[in-house]
Amino acid sequence: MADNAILGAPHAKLLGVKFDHFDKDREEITLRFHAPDSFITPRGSVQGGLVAGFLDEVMGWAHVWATDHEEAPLNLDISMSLLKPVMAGPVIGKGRVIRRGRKVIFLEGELFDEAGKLLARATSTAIPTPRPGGAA
Amino acid sequence: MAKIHEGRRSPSAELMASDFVSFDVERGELTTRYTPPPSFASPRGAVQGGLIAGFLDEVMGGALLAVTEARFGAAEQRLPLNLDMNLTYLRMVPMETVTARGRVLKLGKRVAFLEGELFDKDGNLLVRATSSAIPTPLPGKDD
Repeated sequence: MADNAILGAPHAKLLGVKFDHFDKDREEITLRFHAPDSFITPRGSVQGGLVAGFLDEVMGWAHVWATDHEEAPLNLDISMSLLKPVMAGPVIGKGRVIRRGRKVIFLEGELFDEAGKLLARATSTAIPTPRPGGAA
Repeated sequence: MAKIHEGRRSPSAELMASDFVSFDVERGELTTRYTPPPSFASPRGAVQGGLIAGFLDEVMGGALLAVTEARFGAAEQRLPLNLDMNLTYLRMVPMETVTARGRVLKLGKRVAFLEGELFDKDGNLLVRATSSAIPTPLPGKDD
């Protein structure tokens, strides 16, 4: 159902994002990513900060889908725990809306490798805004 | 001092067009400039919030590298293995060159506490970050 055209912002292409599914009851989205080689540090894994790029994406799309594509979050903060190195290649992200208020929303996200191992998790506080670029 | 960076431009540093500005030994503070690549743009026309952490990680890591070199010598340089990172977004980060400052708040054997900020060209504070990390020897040092 979800055309990947909606994920077509420049950063979305960089992150290699593909829609997997959205669970309306849980307000939880699953996205598939492909971590690019350009994100790699001398350690051979994705630079820790850039891991937040995937988490932001998955948390943001949870909010967008939960509001039928009417709104997008403007992040006030992101807190992230880095449990295991994220390698270049496929990464699975799950994001959900913890609480959706009129003025503030609380989001949560996780990244997994293909074997289902948890690599990183994040929470974010954000302001809901009309979606930039609308429902194009 | 600029050498400490040029020696190790990783793909991620290359991507963000990392550009050394200065290192204040007294304060243990590194100043770097970054230019977001077009691929970092969100639909808002600013840098995607999560990817902003890329700049802050880079400058905080560089600060740890520079501080450990200044204190203990090149053989004892350390890079952070980040355990967590917390970001506060005060203003949107424009798709133009930004200045970053990174500091080591506390350097222990097992854990280092790092801090970083991002400023626009007018000196406005855009984002701040803190991170706890394990200081590790440089990867691939013997390559």
